[in-house]
Amino acid sequence: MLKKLLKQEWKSFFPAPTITMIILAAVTLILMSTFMTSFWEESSNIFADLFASLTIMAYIFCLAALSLCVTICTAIRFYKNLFTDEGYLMFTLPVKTSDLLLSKALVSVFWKLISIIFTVLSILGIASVGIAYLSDTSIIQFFQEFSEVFQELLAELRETLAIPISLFILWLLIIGICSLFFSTLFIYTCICLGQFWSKHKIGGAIIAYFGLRFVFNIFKRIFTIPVINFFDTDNLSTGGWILLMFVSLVIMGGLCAALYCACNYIMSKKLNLD
Amino acid sequence: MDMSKPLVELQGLTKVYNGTKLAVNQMNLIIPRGRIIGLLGPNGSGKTTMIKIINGLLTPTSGRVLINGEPPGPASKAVISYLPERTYLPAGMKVKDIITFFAQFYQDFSIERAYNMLQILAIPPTAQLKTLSKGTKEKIQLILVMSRQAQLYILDEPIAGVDPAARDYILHTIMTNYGNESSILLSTHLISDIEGILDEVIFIRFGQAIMHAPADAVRRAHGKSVDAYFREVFAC
Repeated sequence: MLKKLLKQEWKSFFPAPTITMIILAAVTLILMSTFMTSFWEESSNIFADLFASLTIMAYIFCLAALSLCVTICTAIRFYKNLFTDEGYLMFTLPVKTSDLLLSKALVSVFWKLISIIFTVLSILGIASVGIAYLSDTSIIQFFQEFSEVFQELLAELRETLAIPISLFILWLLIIGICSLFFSTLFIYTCICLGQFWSKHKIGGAIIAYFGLRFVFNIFKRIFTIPVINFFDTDNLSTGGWILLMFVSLVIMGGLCAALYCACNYIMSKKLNLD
Repeated sequence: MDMSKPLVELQGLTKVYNGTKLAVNQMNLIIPRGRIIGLLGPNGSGKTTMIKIINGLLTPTSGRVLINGEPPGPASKAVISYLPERTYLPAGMKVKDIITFFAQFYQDFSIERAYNMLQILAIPPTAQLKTLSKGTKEKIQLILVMSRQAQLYILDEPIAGVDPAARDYILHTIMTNYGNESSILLSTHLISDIEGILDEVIFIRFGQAIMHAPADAVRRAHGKSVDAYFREVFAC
């Protein structure tokens, strides 16, 4: 059933982020093409200047819009599909509540990941063309230099770290994906908590958002920051690194699991659809 | 699923809204198999609340609901076909999409029967749900519900929003599309329209089942129709 739910969620989720990505791609290409032509040298008239300013503004707006779009879709899809009239359809399906929750979280995290990759590629594309234009070199040369800088960074990391670099990157990836799950489940938990309000459930969700943020900030101050400070990453042994990675994964995974369980509990044991 | 157990059993079911408003009060009820049961009561008597609890959409304050001996969950949802009193269809879908959706999730759903009913009611399968009237959406929901071979059909106000001409077809659809082992729990205010098809009636007042009896027995005992008796019992 999870597979079927994932398919349905995907079909409902994809239009808005896809359109935003297409617009971002278009603006990226326009900006890149202006660097590839002699537009910037010739932009002495007011219309060309205006066009250049508008394109850059549109690009910045699109970058922000993509990230915002996925977050808004995550919240709206979850609320509308489960806690409005559509909830009568979804909660009477012969599926586990955990599957409903998981399908939505997986699709949201996937789109967050895609939007990050897309944003990085877009910035890299513009940076490569822009820097090549400014420094009067070729794009190939830019990537060669970029690769060299990247190799240097990796070499420096190899010296600093007492663990294999592949393990470090794997840890970063897992932590990154966990934090994407955390941000999605955080929104879901706030919406679920908002359901305890008899009226103004969205208002309740917003209050829950600030309340939970406050709780997590306290948690961060009490647990996370002291743990990180405890490990002196400049002089950490292999064992120390492994312990640091393990502890951070346990904290992050534990937080995700706590939010997931909270949502699942509210949706299965405290559900009260209007 | 234990078929030897009652189809639905309510044990001391209570629902209090916001800590003060008592909607269902210590309700004990058994819904047997193979019957058409009218759930009758005035507005605010607790009919919809009870139905929503059976469907797992509301959490009871105390007491419990058992469907085939099990609390509401995926197994009970697979055997209950529920028509709520509101429209729940996602606006962005087409009629044929929602039929595919039901066919994917409910093993007992008949696509052929759904398309047949769509054709009779002249509803185009390619129509966007958001372009359809409220009455047409209600007809589609009824088609979706009655295209299943469920053990229990729960219909909350199935004929309230449709035109009188469609009512006869809907009642005919209900009568001809359910199996002998299935039951129908039908909540409505329009008792005269459905009285003829009811095997049993449940009167609900202030969140309690004040009467559960065969429809014929009610008519015999009081010498009047269920509708007339309802008006007498619930006279303002």
